[in-house]
Amino acid sequence: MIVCCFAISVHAQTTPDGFAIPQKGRVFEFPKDHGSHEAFRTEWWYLTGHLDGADGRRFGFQVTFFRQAGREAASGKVSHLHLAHAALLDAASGRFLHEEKLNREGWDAFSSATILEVRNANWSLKLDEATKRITVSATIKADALLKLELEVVKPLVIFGEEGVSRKGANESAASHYLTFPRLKATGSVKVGAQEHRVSGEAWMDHEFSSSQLDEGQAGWDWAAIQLKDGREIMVYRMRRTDGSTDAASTLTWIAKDGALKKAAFDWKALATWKSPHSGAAYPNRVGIESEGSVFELRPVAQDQEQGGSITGLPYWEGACDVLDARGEVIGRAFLELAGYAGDLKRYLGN
Amino acid sequence: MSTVRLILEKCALRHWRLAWRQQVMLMLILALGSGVYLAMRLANRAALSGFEQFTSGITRQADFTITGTTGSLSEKWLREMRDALAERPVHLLPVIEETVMPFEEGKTVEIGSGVTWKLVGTDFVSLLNLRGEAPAGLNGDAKAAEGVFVSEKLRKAVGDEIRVVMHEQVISLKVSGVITEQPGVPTLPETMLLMDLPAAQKVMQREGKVDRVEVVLTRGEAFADLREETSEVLSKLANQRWLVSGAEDRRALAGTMTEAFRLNLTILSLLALFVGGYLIFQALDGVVIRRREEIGVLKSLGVTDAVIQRAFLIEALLLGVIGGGLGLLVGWLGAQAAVGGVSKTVNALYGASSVQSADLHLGEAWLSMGIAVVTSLIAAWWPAREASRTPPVHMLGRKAAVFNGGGWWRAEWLGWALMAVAMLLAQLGAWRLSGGTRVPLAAYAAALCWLLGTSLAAAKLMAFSVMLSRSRVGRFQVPLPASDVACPSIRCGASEAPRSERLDEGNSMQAGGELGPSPRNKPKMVKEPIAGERESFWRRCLPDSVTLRLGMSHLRRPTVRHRFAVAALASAVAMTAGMAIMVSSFDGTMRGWIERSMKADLYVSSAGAQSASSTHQISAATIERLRAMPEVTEVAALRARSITLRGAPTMVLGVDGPFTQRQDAYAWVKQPGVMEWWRDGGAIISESFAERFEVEVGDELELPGGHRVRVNGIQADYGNERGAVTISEETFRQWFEGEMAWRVALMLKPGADAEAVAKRLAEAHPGLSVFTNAHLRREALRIFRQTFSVTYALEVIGVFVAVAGLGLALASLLLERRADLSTLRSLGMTARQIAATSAWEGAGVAMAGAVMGLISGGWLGWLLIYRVNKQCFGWTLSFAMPWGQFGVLLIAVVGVGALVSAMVGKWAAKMKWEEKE
Repeated sequence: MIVCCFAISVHAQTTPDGFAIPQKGRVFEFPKDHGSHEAFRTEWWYLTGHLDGADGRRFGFQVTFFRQAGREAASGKVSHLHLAHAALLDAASGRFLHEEKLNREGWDAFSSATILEVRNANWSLKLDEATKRITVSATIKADALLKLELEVVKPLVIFGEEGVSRKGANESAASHYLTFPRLKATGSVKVGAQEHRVSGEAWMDHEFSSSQLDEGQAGWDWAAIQLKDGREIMVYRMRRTDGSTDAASTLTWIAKDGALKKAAFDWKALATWKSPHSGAAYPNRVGIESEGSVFELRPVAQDQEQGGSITGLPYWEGACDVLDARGEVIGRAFLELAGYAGDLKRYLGN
Repeated sequence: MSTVRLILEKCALRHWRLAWRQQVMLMLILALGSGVYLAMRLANRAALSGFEQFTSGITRQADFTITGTTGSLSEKWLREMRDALAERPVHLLPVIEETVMPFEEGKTVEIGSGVTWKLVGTDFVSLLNLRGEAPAGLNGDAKAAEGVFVSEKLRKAVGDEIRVVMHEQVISLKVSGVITEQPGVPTLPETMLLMDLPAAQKVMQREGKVDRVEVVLTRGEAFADLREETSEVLSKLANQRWLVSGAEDRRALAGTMTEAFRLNLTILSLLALFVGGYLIFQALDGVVIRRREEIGVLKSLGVTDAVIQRAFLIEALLLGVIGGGLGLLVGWLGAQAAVGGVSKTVNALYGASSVQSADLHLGEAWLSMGIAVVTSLIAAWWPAREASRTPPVHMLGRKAAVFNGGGWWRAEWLGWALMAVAMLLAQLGAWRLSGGTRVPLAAYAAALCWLLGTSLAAAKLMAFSVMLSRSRVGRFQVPLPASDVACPSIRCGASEAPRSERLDEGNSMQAGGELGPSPRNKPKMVKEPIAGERESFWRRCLPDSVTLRLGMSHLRRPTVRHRFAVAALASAVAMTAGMAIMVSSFDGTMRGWIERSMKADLYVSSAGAQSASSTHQISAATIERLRAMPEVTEVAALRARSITLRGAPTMVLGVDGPFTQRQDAYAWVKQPGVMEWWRDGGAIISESFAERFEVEVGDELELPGGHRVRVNGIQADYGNERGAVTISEETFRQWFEGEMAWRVALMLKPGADAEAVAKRLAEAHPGLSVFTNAHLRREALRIFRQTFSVTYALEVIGVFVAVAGLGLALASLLLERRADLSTLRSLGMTARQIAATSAWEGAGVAMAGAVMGLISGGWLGWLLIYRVNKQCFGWTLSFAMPWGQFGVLLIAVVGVGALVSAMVGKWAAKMKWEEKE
């Protein structure tokens, strides 16, 4: 009986191929937990934000670092791939620049296990523990250079129940989900030869898991909403292959003081945009209702599709305005629509 | 223009139809000339293309390449590079590589004959960022693919095994993928095996190391700034650990490695074309002669000189175009045949190169066509000009002269002057380029001046031919047969000078071309015959002295055609003789050097060490096993590292100091003045090194990594034109990662059977090549001679073209002398006698050409040895004269010249007086 219980317990802590499953009650230690967790298969540091130039020009940006582990069947040796995405939207022109990078872990791509320091070729993200400032820099081909300094203005929040954010019914379909919901961004955006001094607000997710998608799930719709009144909303809708919404879908309100409140929500696609690049149809104009409030997420530009030139997995990740029922802009948001083109499980596993 | 077209249609094309064989021959000559040049170019390019094949097969050309100064690059340094580059959009692609040789059980190959492949390891995942997509067969899997990826041209399937020799080991590689050809991407050469970086590092036992980093910059508006910044950042960070070279530096480096070789071949093929130019000129001149009556008629009808000249030039243009077209075919076919030989030589001398088929590029096709057309036009210019300028009355007279050329055609003084200029030019030094490359431009110019000079002066020797024949025949005169005595041309003119020559001398000419005697050309009385034994002797030796006298009489005042024939022969023979001297001197010097430097009983290297830049080495463990053999008394390992010094590739060697000094294995150019050659940072440099880097004994040298050595001596080394610095083994190990050996020499116990030990060693280590002393000496000489195989082919072509030119020149002369020939035949001279006359004339020309050629070749040989060779390779050779070859060449040229002339004479004897073609 004791042996049997032990076996179940062991099974519950790792996936069949030996990667860790998020466990409730995990005590997070910082700065270590800002760093990489190689026991988990998948991990990402996801930075999105809205910038305004001194000249009044508006930009949306995304810089994301992924780590994906694989285990060799014969030797049991684990190796890691580092994927990264960067995108910049010039709202005035509607020009959307994006690039994807993929490198094997080593001298040119790594994520520190002790602090927040992630690198993929010439793109980097680092938290200076002394100043508590995050620096991020990324180029998009030879077209753009983004160099930002991010100051934490709202403390880190940890989503989920006892530190575990569920993504599906399966025990392994969960993650540890840590977020800086509001960062003050300053720096520069260089587009072509023109450099713009910018400032704005950013959002950074750090999530690690060993299986983001459960059986029967096709993808997710996710949004990070920053309201002008100082509150934020994190919402994700896990989509099942039959089009329905998975029960694990979640909306969390973040109060001004950082308090979290999970709430019921209704997600409605208001309009769809068909990508001329991938052919995928993205419902990128969304209506969300929660706690008696109605918001509309309206994309700043239609074409904000990440091409997935290497992975072959395009998705839509774009800057949106947040409008209330009266049609007034009450905040800004980033909307992610994944799994509308290609099979996400190819990279994320299950 | 319509008149020109009419002339072309009615005259040129009619002649082409009537004398189609001659037209075909003319086109073939043009084809041969341009074809040889093209073939050398194509074969060269194909053989050298391997230098630029590295990763261009799988990605686009890198903007910079970073290579270690003393060996491999550590992956830690790559991290430093990335940190220093910061956010700059620069892609760093690490590459590791080794040469490997396909292994076949029980098969042994001669050095340089084995196929050398390159095993290249690069990061397949990183590569995806450059390509944007995986090459067919590769994917972005985090797990390193264990096997190799091969070109589809290798005809291997996934799962197949490939056995190769890497260093001294035979290893098996499994085919993991086959890379297919993709439009717009250079095809992966079949001699390249591709591996994912981690797997390659594991197979090569060099984990954490790479050989170079390809730096690819993101293209954009700020590309120029990015390029400059990247170069600056990486160079500043290097601190003598690595070198940053641009694509153009690499191309230049690849170029410098073979520049001298390529230049030599190009110049040789141009010289062949130079000899071919003579031939084309002679052929086109012959065309004018054959058509002079028509030209006369046309002029009488009012056709202007300009129209006639234009018509000839257009005809030459047509010939050039057709000949050039055929030249493309000849060149391409020649290149396919030559590429193997050329690449073998390049491989043995410079390093592993992958040989591609010699593809023809559009630019080269145009160049080849251009050469044929321009040569044809230049050669036609003077005959066309003469045709248009000569008065109709001269044209209509069959015995009238057509083309005598300007005064400078006969300017023998110009020849002597050019020879003097050549001697002055030979005193100038080489033109030094970056990367230690020296181009002996002045020496090449000297060779050209010398060839031109001796060609012009060569005609002088025809007078000696005549003197030689006259003195003998005059002294031992035989009675003329009745027919000869009755021959008017012999009596009054032909014995003195050809009729065409006498026009220049101001002789009067009557209508119909009959000539009156001039005061300068008074008929000479036939001397009384001397009776007796000697007369019968000469009758036996010279069966028909009249034919000899008649033949030689044409050379007394040689025509421009004679001069051209002699010039062409002299040039061709001079080139051949010069090369023969150089090869003979090389051979002698090499033998002496081999005798001195190869003293060990056995020499061991990796079986894959097929070329100068092979990376195959022997591990320390194997060296220890060799040392433990009971028959072995001493083991000396030679360690080597390719380095770049002052932007030029060269080598550092590490030797067993006491062993080398005890064996006294060096042929000294400057012997060290110190007792211990390598003590306290001492170094011995090779002569090539001293010449390339302008270093003298006593100088201090800074080697990569900031290590300083002092030059103690200079030794002759004919095995490596890039030069080498030799330091002691201990120092080498300290400065360069040098546990592995490049070559190992074994001394055996007295009485040990070297052959048997070699056999046993080879059986025990299939990845090793074991040579006995005698075998290695043979191999060294064979490789050396192989280097000159292409040269010989060019020389044969040169002599062939010159002898063919002689035949054509005589054909033109005999055509001119149709009336004389007809008269001679009417007077009873047989066809055989006319053929003999022609043969003597041809032999005289050939003798003059060959003798001048040999004399000229003697100096050319000196120039090649002491100037071209010394300036190109830095090697001092001992001058050796191949007398035997000279004798054979002289006999062959005179004999073949006489034979060809006899054949032309026989053809002319059958020609009717009124015959036009």
